[in-house]
Amino acid sequence: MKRIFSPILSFLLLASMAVNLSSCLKKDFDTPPDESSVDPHLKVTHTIAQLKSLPQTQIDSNVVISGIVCMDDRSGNYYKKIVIQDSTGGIEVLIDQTNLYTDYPVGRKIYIKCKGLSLGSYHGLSQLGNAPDAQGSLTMINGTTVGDYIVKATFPNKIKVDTLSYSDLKVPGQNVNRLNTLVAIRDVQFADADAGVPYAPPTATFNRSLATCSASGGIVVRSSNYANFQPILTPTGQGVIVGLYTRYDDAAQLIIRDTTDVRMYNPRCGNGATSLITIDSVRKLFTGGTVTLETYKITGVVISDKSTGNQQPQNLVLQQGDRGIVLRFTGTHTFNLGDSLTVNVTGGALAEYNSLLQISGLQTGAAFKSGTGTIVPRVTTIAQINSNFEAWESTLVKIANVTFPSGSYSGNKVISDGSGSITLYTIATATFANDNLPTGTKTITGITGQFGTTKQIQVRNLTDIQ
Amino acid sequence: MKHSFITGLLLLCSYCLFAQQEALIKGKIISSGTKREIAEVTVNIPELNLQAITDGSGDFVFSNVPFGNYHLIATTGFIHTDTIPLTVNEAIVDVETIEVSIDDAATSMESQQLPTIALEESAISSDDDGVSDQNISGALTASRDPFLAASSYTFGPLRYQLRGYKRDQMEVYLNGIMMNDVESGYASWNQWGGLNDIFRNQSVTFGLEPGEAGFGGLIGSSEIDATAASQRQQTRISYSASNRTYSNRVMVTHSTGMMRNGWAFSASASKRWSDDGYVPGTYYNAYSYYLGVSKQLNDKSSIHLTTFGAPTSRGKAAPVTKEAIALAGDNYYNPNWGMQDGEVRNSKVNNSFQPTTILSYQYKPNMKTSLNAAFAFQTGYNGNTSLDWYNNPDPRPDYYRYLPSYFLNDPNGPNYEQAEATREYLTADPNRMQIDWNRIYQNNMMNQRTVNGVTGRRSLVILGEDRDDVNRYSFTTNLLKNINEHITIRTGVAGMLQMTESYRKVDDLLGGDYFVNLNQFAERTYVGNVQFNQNDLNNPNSIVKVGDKYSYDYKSQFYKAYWWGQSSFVFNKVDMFLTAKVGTEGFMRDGQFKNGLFPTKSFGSSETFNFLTYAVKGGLTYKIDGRNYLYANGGVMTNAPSFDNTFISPRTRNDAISEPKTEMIKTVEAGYLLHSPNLTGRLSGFVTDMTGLTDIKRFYHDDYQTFVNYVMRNVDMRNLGGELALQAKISPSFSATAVATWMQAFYTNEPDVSIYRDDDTSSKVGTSKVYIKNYYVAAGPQSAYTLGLNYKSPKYWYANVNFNYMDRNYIDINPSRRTAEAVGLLADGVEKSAILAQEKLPGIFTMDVFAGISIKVNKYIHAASKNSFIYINAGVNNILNNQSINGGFEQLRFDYSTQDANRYPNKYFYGYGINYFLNISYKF
Repeated sequence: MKRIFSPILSFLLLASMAVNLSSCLKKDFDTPPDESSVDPHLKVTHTIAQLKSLPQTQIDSNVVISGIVCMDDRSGNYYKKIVIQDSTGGIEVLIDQTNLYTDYPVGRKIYIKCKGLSLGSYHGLSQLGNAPDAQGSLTMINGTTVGDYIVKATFPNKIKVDTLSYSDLKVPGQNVNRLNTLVAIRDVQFADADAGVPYAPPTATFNRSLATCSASGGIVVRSSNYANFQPILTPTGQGVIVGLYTRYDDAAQLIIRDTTDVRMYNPRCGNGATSLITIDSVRKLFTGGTVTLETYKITGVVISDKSTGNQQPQNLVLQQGDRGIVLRFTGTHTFNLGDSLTVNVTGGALAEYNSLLQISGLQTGAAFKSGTGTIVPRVTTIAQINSNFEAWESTLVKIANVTFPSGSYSGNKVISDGSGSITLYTIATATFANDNLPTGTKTITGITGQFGTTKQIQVRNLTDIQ
Repeated sequence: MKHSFITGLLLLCSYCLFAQQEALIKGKIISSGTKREIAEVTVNIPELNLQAITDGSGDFVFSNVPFGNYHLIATTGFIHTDTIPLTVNEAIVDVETIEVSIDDAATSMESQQLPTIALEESAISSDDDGVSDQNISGALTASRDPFLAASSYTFGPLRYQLRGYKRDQMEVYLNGIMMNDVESGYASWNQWGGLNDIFRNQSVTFGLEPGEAGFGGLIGSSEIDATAASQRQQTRISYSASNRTYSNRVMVTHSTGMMRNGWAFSASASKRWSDDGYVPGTYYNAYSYYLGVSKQLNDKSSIHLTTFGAPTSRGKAAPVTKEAIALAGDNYYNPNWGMQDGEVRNSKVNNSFQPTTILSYQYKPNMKTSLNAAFAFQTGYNGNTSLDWYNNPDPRPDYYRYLPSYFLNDPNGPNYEQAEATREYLTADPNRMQIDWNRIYQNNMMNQRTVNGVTGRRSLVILGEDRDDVNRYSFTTNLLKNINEHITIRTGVAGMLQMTESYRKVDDLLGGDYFVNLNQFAERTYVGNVQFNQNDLNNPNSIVKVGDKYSYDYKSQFYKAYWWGQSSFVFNKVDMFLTAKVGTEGFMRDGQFKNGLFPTKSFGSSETFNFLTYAVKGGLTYKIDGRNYLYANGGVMTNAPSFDNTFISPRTRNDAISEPKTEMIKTVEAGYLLHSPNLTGRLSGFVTDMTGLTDIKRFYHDDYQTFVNYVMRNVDMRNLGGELALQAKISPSFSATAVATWMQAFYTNEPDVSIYRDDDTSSKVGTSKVYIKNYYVAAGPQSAYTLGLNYKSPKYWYANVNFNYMDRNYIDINPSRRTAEAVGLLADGVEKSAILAQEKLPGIFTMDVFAGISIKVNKYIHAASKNSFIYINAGVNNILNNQSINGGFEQLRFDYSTQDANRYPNKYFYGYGINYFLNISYKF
């Protein structure tokens, strides 16, 4: 009896333990309720403008302000400080903490209990922080105890951004209530020397000058080399910029939160209006030698591919309708196959380079990408290309039944389609230069060109050969 | 050559015989219940005042016994004895097997004590600073040697390490299979935690003593028989209460013992749990199960299948600075937890489950031969969670920048006002020194972002888990042969293959919808570079959610195969042994992520490293008479370096140190042993030199602003010291024990160090010297003393009190502080000493009290069987509640610009104050 009793008893005990134990298993942790709609409704005693006008440095009384964060440190453009604004103005708040955007992101409403904090200013810009140091600079609020001063409220909140005129904002002294608030300016572009270049060099904080269509300078966009958008190139177009309005004594500055604050999608305005002409008309301006172009701009779609290295890095081929032309910039450009460009060719040199017509001497900032486009290649034969060559120069053609010689792409290779033959030219350093030419008959798409007396076609990449 | 040597010895002994008419007595003790040998049984010849203790095979030996008629008394418990008449009339008397029955009524401190942290992995584990685990060896609990018993039960909880050796020097065999992890060399006792009833059949060897299942390590070896056949027939239910790592334990065991039909079954299950352990925030939740089946195929062979596992989940504590302890107002301040929705939530949780199955076959054609073959398969995981953050302030509450000392150590001069404001702020609300989970959740929920085409809440802080998923296959076969009365041969071969996948995965998004797999340290160093910041170039900017792998992922493969052989000789006056082992082992890495900083050497297989190892040890024991022995043993061993000390940064790349070499160990030990019924003791000493070690420490280097792999090569260490132990039986019930041990574990040379940065894509690194010669190796207290008084009543109860003192416990040093860069240009003085000095922790005095009783149920409830017993055991450790630091380390971060050692002060572990256990078992 005992022999059966013990195993039964133990089994029952084990089973009961198992049942009991599964109910003791730990459950997953609950997510706390979202507090972003919680507003503690502290009693606000001063507006930010009233705070800034307080006479003393250290605030001894119960001053409570409230504002919405309009600038944080998410991009790295600012470090250990945030800026808040209300309807009367804005102020910097210095806090000894990294990644403040996690607690106080742009759009968060906060209250600040200012008792014990100090007011200061940096070259005319108001700041809120801790007691000044021996040199008189304001120190930062202690990152560990900041909760004693800053009370979090709702998120997100929209900030009303006023659009102002460039000329008005050039003088910070006349816009004191706008300092440390967000402003927008229309019809503005980066000055010629500051367009199409990185927001800041890798080594230091830098100012990039803004310009209007008629005048340049007066307001700068100041960016830190620690900002994550530091290497991004400033746009070459014209449009709207939103930013935090600050000053360094009498110099007006705009601080952007990130590149979405900069919306310059219109074509640049030059010094004098440019008139739009077709590529066909530009080509007809060539009468031999070098023609310096007047105030013209052209549009077209890029049909060359810079990524495969079968064009000089400073060149591209632009086609509009059934006419095309080679553009040569003063430095390496960044435009890709398919970009739709508007190019200000004012002052460009229209000339033939070894019989190929091109406009050279253009600044990369003069070309402006407005979107993308497609050019449908002209389906034709080699014989027709050879007989219409000048008109069809620098355009995209498509030829069927092409046979190739043996060897690799690099250099001049004669191809024919039965109706005639033409040179297929590939730069020796192109990515596919050492690949073998195809066997059998293929359809080829390419750009027509010439070098001296040789008529040639250049493909963009290997998918041009099907 | 061996032949003439033996002949010579035999001649010597026969001369002894003619001269004094003394004999060698041999025998084997087996249990009448299980018919298996029992270790640690005391056998006395009272007429001659001689005592011997059986070894792992149940064998005992008496030497120098004069001819005559005596009695052999075998004691397994206290009162119960089996008496056998003994006639000694020839040179060698073999009494063969003696059956004894286990005295169920016997209860002793050793047999019943609830394991303390000596047997379980401690709640405190590795730190972000890269300091390795401070776990404690939990071995040798079965030994009757007073020094060994003290070192595990008494000294063990106080972080004592036997002879200063690391845990990998203890070999643990289970049913013949070596359970030490192939990668780290450690045997992890929490793989069978909570299965104490089953794993009681343990025999141990200490130091270089000849082992039974393998060569053994420097600490020794432990052999456990957990087959169903070796379990006594019993059903046992026990409940324990304690306030240490867990508060409650329920354990149920049922064993049939070997039944008449040749089958034996055994099963055990337990649960150990606590909502909050001794240290706040440390919870414990563990189950264990065991199932064993044995079949006696015929009277010579048996087959055994054993399977067990212990899924465990526990919250961990952390070592902290003295400043943090003062701010929290608690020696056991634990920064790992915080309140979430009214519950304690610990961010550092260990989850492990590594079930094992062993199939073994035993063949015993006669009493002189035994063959054991076993196959084992183990699969499972070990995971540790911790917080991860991206472009977020450090969420740890004791981060040095959040504490008052940050303002006092400001390089521009101390800011007393802010230090005081911070101190007031932190002490005003205890939650401010714990994790603010709510803030983490709220900030994650606010961070609406679009990344890589995914729009949602991008988590800034998540909970990740470092996981090791392990599959291990091993086989072993051992042969034991008693060639004649004097010579015993053991030999065996073993092999193992282990495949591990190590990776980090998302455990909880903490209120967010996704996280992005990016290396934020590379982003800081190489701003804007979209290659270097990728942890996996094969999946750039990948969006990860709960369960997805991120940060690192690599597989590693290990193999190990060896042959070992041992011959032991037992003569009347002299015992000798010689053991040898030859083996090969190796490993390789197979990266699963293509690291953006090391794209050509992180994805795919590394080269395979192979090492040839050998080990030889031998010893001689001279038996002055039946009670007094002198012994000397020595050994030379080589060890292959570990995976983590060969690959420079296994989480990021396949690079390894150039020409990894095996380490060399040379060791000698000698001593005097006294074995008599009323007095047992030892006086022994040892010297061990370990040379050619490689040690890689990984931590965040402030100067370089990145994680570094600090590779020290040609590290040499020496351990030397001695032990004195005495156990005296003052009266039949009353005994006293005194143990003292003193040792020195220290570095004996100046190793070369190369620093490999995790953000540096170049592979050329300079080498400099680390001046750590004669610094102590952190090996727990290097002096330990105990005085114990034990009373065993014939009425089946016992009481025991121990007085203990531990001292000379040294902090684990930061080697990078003992370099020219750290102290250069500093004149001798206070500042320089602060950087160089090695802190010695204060001595600890504790007092422990234990008591227990066994009750024969039948005496009170006549319906119960004669075999029913209730055992009650209780103990209070550190009854004086001396809370004292018993371990610590220098942080691996060091400010080279200010050279202020106080900027990143030492971190400490406090030993438990008063702690108790109460264990009630019912056996029937």
